Amino acid sequence: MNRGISRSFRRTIAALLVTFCGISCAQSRAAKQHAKLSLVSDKPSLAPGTSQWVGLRFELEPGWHIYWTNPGDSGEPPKVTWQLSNGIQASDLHFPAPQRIADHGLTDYGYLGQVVLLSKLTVPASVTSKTAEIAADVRYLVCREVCVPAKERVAVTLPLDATTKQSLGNGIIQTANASLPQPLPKDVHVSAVSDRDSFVLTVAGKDANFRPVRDFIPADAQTIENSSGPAVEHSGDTTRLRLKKSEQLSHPVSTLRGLLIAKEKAYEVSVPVTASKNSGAKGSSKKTVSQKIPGSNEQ
Amino acid sequence: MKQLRTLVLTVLALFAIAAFAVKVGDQAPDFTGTDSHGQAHKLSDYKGKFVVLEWHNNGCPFTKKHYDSGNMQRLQKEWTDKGVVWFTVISSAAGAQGYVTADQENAYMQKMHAAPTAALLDPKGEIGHLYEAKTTPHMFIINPQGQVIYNGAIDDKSTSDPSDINGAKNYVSEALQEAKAGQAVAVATTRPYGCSVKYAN
Repeated sequence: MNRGISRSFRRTIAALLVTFCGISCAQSRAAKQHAKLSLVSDKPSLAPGTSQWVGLRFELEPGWHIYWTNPGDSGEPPKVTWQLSNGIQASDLHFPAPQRIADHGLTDYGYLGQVVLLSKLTVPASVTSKTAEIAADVRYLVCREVCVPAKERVAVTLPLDATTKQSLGNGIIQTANASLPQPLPKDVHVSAVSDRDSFVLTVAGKDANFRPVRDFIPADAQTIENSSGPAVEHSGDTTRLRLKKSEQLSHPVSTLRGLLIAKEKAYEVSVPVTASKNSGAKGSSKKTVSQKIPGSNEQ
Repeated sequence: MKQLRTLVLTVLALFAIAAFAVKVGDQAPDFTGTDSHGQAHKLSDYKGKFVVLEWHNNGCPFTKKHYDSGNMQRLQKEWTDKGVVWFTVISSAAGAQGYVTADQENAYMQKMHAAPTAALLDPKGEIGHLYEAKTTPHMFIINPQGQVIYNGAIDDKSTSDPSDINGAKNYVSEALQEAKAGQAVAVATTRPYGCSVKYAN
């Protein structure tokens, strides 16, 4: 009798849970077909009093993408809320350089294939527990022709252990670290001028690894026209990138922030913008002009 | 020869349309659209009234954010009650996400308690391209003189999360309030956010 009641009660609870789960769970299930999310660490434990990287690894179905911090013309970046035990702190997410993704005449900034978003965990020295619970509640949008939103929790339990541990050697964190945008090399200088329709970035420097600069991806939305790739001119050690201003640009831009995409790496730039002396500026001499949008991925 | 000239002029006209996005302060390009009840609506027939254009795709998570929460319907009701003409425009091509037949759209509006003046079916993307509508939602406001006074996002929280609606600054409501009070619209151009409009390729 009791057992019968408890069974039907349990069934009701289960049914209620399924109902509550409703739309968002169905969407998350749909998203999981297109993106596999995992939480990765490159060491088997966490050491008190130190910091170390963990990564949110997205393995995406071919053709599907997620977004950079500035998603471009459509979409939205992933967001994480950390649930951490023992007073552990997580840094903001560090995103690798994105690529341009064409979407119905719009241009988005994001990732296809696989991407790892990094966060640095800082463990207090005073921790006495044996293990730490690391969980991330991640909201993301995964898109191809259409977009599917997802809410997912990924978690890992790591021993807290002061002895130095070798890396697990999976290389995931190292590879992700290597693909993060770098600070500009010391001998490279960037300046920005604003004229009527464009920002002109001038990149000067001899660093051999740095050249050729191919593209600029804005960190702030509503700054440049995403679908107009930069017109790139190379002249000796100097590269000029002409970036068409966004039609939605309604205020003067004092600092142009974004990524310079060079031969192999991406570099973070944040450069003050000065007004052009010759705002008509049509007569500048052009050496080699390329209108091609670098790295554009049609789908 | 005459045919050739007509062709050249048509091509030039098409280029002219493609070359100029609709900017705030411009005269709103006129169009005639057919709604989900088969009725034609000509924009210029609504001179003397404020007109809101709302780009829509019922499968887009950003559109769902504003419809599942009832936010869009609330805005439609509030502003049409105050005499504003509100057109929901659907520019998804046949076969693409958000494409609906007239019957499907009527059923959707009834189910969602949507309250626009009319839902214009634009599967060829003619109105969409005329306004260069980029995302769903993408909002335009046209004043009684027929000028565009707002072009951009619905609000300042560019996410698909319904919990971001509370506390968001609704640009459409603010612009309509200001314009109806005879003031200039403080935030008249913003970056629209959402899904790409699923135009025919």
